[in-house]
Amino acid sequence: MTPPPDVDGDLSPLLKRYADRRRALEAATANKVTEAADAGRILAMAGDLLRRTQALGDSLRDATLAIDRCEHQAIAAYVDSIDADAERKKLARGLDEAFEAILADESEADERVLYTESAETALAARDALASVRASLSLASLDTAKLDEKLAAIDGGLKKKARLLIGLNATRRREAEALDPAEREAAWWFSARSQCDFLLSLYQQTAPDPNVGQITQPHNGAHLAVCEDCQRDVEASSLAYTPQHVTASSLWRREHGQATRDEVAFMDSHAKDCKDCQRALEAIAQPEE
Amino acid sequence: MGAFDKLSDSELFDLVVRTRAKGEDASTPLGSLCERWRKPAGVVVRRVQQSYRAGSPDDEGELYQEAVRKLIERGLDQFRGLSEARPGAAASPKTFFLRIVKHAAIDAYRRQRELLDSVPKGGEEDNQESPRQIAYAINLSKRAAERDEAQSLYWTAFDRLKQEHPNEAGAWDAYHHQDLEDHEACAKKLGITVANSYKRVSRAQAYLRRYLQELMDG
Repeated sequence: MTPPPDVDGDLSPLLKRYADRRRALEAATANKVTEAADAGRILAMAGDLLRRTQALGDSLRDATLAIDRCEHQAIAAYVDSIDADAERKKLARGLDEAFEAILADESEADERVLYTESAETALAARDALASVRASLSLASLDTAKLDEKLAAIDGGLKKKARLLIGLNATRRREAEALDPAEREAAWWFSARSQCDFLLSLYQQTAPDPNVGQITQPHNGAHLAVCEDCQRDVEASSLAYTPQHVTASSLWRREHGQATRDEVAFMDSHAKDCKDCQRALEAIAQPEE
Repeated sequence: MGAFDKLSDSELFDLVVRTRAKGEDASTPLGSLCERWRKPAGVVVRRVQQSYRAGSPDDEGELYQEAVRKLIERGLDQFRGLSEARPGAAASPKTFFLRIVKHAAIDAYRRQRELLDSVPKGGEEDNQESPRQIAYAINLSKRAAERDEAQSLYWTAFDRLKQEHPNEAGAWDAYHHQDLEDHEACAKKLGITVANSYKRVSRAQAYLRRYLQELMDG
């Protein structure tokens, strides 16, 4: 179980939104649910309540009644209709858009808003699928097919959660609204949600706390304890053009593994650097 | 007559690879194989010494040992990888080993020259270094070697930048790889404003950092 998130900002609008779902759920289940899409919507709403009992109160009765109104055939058809590949693409695009929002400068405030909204929509869509699963589980329905699809959607994306750090204030609130047992699994809200530190790697200027989503200041102390951030800083330190032709570049060049740009850099650099020029001449010598 | 004398270089090399793949000790056949290449390795070292006008006959043994160590550490798998990637195009095991010798020698003499250049002028007493300074220097040198090894990641990341964000890649290339004087020169070369040059280079760096982090994720 992950510790409670370090939440900033007011949680009440978020809780109100989820509380509204209880009413929407009641309205949507006045009649028997026979369509796949409607079943999916109801399972997601019911699951939203089930996964947030600490914040919203016990919703077991409401959720159970709502799920019972869904025909099993409609539920099965909904699960079948989930296109894992398409959902994965949506989520991956959401991650990319969250990163673009980080890079948007003052002159691109509109784009930043659009990127942010689009990314948050993608995260909400993924969270809705987690809620569907919670509903299936409550109804003791088989989750194997959905689990397989969820694994396909998430595959390789969780480790890219660093791209979401620009949304951290929102994500921390979302994670806080979830029951503690749900938080870690909901990586789209929780993974790297404390790593605001990383913003300083991507943004040239210090983030303005009054702009967008960034509410936590640069926090060097976080780096001291966060191994993920330490690894990211280490990797980032390679983002500098080499000063000279390196030994590994020479090796790659001789084995045809150097990229075209790497070769071009070596040749261009060697024109003004005697040592590197000599090294290039030396590797050109035959071995036998 | 040695136990492996009847085997060709390639046959003996295959035996080493097979033995290691089984998790067994391959040091005897590998030792026999490398011993065959000791003399040609000396020739390669002397050729590099001539290029650098440096070194002594004593270096041959050290560099040979260094090359054997590198062959065992990574070279065996790398050679197999190269052979599989480009069947028939890869060098023979012997040429591959001699290439390791050549690169080890070039690296050693480049470092030696770098060290000589960095030694401060003055009396011998001035050059006495404390164990702490020596340990620090060794650590720095180790880190430099690790960074060197990781350099291929930089170029892989730059390749991705070119594909996904060509404008940013163009500015990064002009500003960093072509070593232009400043953003004014970069802007002039690319036909953009100076502010845009700053922006593109800064964004390129952010993308590169992201790509490098993802490459390190594996």
